[in-house]
Amino acid sequence: VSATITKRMRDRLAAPVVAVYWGALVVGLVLYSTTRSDPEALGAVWAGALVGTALGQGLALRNVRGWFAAAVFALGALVLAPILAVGGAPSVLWQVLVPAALCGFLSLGERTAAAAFWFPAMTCMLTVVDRLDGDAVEATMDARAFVVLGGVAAGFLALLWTAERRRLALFARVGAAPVVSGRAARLREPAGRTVARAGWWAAVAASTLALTAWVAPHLWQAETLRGERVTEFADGVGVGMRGALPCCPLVTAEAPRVRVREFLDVAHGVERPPARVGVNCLACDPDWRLFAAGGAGAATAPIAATTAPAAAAHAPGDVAPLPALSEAPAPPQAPTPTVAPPEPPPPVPTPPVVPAAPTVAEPPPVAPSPAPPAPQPTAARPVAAPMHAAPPRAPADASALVHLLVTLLVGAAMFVVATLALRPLRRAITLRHLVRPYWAESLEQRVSNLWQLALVGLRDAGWCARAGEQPEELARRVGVDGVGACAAVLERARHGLGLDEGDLAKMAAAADGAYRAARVKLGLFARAAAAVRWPLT
Amino acid sequence: VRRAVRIATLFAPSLAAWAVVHGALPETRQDPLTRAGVAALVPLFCVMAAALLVRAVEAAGARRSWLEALDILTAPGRALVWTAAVATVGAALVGWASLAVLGLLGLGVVYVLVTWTALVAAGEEPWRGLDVARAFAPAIAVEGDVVREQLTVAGLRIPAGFRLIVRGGVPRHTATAYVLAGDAAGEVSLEAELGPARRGDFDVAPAELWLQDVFGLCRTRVQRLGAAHLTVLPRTVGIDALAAIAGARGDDADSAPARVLPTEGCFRLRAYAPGDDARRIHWVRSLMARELVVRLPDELPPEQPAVRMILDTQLVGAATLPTPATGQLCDALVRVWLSAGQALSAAGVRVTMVAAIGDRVVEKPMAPQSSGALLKLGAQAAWQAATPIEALFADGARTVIVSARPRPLDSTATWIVVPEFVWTDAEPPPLRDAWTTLPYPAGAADNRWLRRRHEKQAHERMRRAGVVFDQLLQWSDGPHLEGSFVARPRGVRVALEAIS
Repeated sequence: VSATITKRMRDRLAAPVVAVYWGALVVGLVLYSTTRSDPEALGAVWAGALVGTALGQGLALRNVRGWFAAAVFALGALVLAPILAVGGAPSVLWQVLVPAALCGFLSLGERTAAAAFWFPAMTCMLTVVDRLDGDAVEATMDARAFVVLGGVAAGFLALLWTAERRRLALFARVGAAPVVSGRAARLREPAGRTVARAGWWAAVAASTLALTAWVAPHLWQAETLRGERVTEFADGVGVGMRGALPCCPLVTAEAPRVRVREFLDVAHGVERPPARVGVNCLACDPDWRLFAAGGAGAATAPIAATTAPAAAAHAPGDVAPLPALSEAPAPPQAPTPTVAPPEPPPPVPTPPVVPAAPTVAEPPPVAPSPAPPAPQPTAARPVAAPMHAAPPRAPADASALVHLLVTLLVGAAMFVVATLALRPLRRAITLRHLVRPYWAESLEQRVSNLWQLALVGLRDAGWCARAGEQPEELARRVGVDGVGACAAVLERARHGLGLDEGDLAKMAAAADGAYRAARVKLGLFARAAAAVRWPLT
Repeated sequence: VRRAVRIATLFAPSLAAWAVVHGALPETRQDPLTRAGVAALVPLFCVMAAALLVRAVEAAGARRSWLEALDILTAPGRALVWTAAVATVGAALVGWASLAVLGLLGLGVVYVLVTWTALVAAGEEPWRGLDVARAFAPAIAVEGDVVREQLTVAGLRIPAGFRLIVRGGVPRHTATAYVLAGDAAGEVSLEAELGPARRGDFDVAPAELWLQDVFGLCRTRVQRLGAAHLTVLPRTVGIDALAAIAGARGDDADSAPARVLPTEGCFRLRAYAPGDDARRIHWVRSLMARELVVRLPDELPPEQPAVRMILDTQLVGAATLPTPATGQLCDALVRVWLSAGQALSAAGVRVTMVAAIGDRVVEKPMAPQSSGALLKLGAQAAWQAATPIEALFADGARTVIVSARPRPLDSTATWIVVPEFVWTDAEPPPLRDAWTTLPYPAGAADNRWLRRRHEKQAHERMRRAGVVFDQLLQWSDGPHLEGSFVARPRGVRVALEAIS
């Protein structure tokens, strides 16, 4: 710490940056937590993010050099990783801890605050991309995603703003050459500055968010993962017998998931129906790109490439249950309502119904077989086909929280609007009291009230009283009619000289005149800005 | 070259990132991205480029550097551009959505703010009608007093989204910095304490003003307004053992008899008494009084001893040495010179203060009515190389020289030596950076490697200047030091110790 800044002041200057960073981080983690149901991984993410951020910012506040901080991180990882691994800590802990520490450290750097915002933004983006279809991001972006994205943009601007304030405060206090920070006092201020500032902030935030929301999704990339193994009835094809009735065969296959790629491998994405050759897709040729380009494939090129393993889970044309399943067979269940009641196979089977996959380009309908498929040997056995319940997948839905956030935002906006709307009334009541008190007041107090009335008029015109400025000085400086007379009477009252009703009447006339004279040149906008200004002087 | 690199940062990283993104994404995704980019970014990019072009042409028309008009990104702004470009490229290569958001947020903010800066702040509009009045309180300070810098900025118009930064200060004092938020407009008063005043007659350079956006990404060119003048008078102190100076030559008790004859002047009168010298009869008064009146010779006081007190500021090369020791020693010389003169005058010695100010020799008698002028003279005193000390001598006068560098002279003089090592601060050690910690709080701009290197170089120059100053002031024993004194600080006073 240099000679002109104490440790306490250094920490005080860093506090807004730390607060904004932690706010964005915690909000991102809370939103993320609402979408997860795996407590172990969730705890690891929380622990890694919080501990890492605290460690990084703690080292930055100790003015530690970057290489030394990196060495501390690496040493800590080397020492703790084996211990935690033995204890069963998930790998996501380290996946989160290291970048959290790095970004926490960078958040207090001079030019690295923006780069450091990647980590809180990433935690928020986990919620945004959690339910997105990686192949159709624009189509699946909902209001929730835009709200969170707006929050990310606001957090980014807030971090830049606080980091710049801290940088300027340090610029005015520490450095190679001794420097002192000066004080500023407004003497005169044009009307409407607050409105202009608020409008500027809104415009910058909106334009930044719009640019980001418009362009950034085009940079997001999809990835397709092995999905959960699901077992369901074959679509519309009845084979086999259960008792006297034919039953539909069960198919076990993997339903791939398509999602937007992100640093942490936790997003759900959108589940696709299992690929069934001859049902909802065609077998990939070696030159499958031709299919993709020609639109003949069941999926676009990258998906086709990545769904190949899933499609290979069962042989082409295999509609029988796959035998090698680790889970215990579920008791036979009645066919689900979605399955047509067992009937004799119609002479002409209905076209296969592809399970709902709204975001995937529908493949050209597979030409129905002219004849029902031949019964498989296994389906002819008089045993019920094993049915497996789909693995539980009940991720929480964050829509309630987002709705709450939106409600809070709207409520806050309404509160601000209501407060602004009530300010003219508040001003009118106050001015009425200054001119004619609602209750009995002493002569000196009424003189003071009338002086405040003159000050309100001067403030409307932009004149500000300097700290410690005497009334006579102010009157000379502003040169507004009536202020000098007010100042003279006020000085007498302050010095305990005798006042009478005549002085009060004179003061009232002068204050009223000063109030009007100061406001006489105000335009409509300035008068409107003055009506909603608070405090009045 | 560095300015060109800074200007190139406006365009090069984003264009490079765009090229990499196009190359990295599959063809099926390039069309939507291109459409979004063309629709969202290209118009903003065009507006930004057009605004900057207008500002550059405007600057060229005003005979200013057109490159200066384009050099509007600050160091954090350039860092953000590069960060955003790298994040965008990273998003295309590794596909993380958060990188894309960070990159687009960063580029969006920079584009918007550069455009806004070029449109509303980079021209002359915010400075039109701006009036900066600068003063110091007190206007004429005395060494050691607390001095405050006061600026009044009138006609101020800070565009929305900007801050006004003002940097001032006085040479040999601390620099001052003011940060005015956007709500400070119209008329603003700024005030900062400069700390203890240091002697000198300063022509203070204008304050530097510039606008910077609230995110610290863009700034305008620097305006220099509000030159001022500050005079800090030397502070005189008490001198111990001063009688030794007057008696240094052993002739302080000798009086110079007045050369007045009994027939001259006007003396005490009385009536004639028998036995009085007839030549003492005042005939005119006798006629008026109608009796004989004689005049009596009154006692004539011996003349006060006279001393010529010379301030020796002749030292070739000292004025340009970048070390604070030069100023500190000159302050001490002036302080001792004035204090000794005042003390001698109070002791009944007629003192003539002599100093070389610039290229002229100034002589002033030390008298109550001339103390103000002498203090101003002391404020103006500085190291000079033009006037040799012999030029300050006068024939036959007893001479006392206040100097830091006694040397043999043709004339006889008493030296009051102000040793450099006593009156100046010790040389600071070389700057050494700790291996593990930064020299300034994390986030301070002076932690940058380049600035730190400049600071170390400046520090090293200062240390070497201190050594050179030491060598310039070296003095040796000799007969010229006989009867001389060394001035040492003793609390708030100065003690004179005879050199024996």
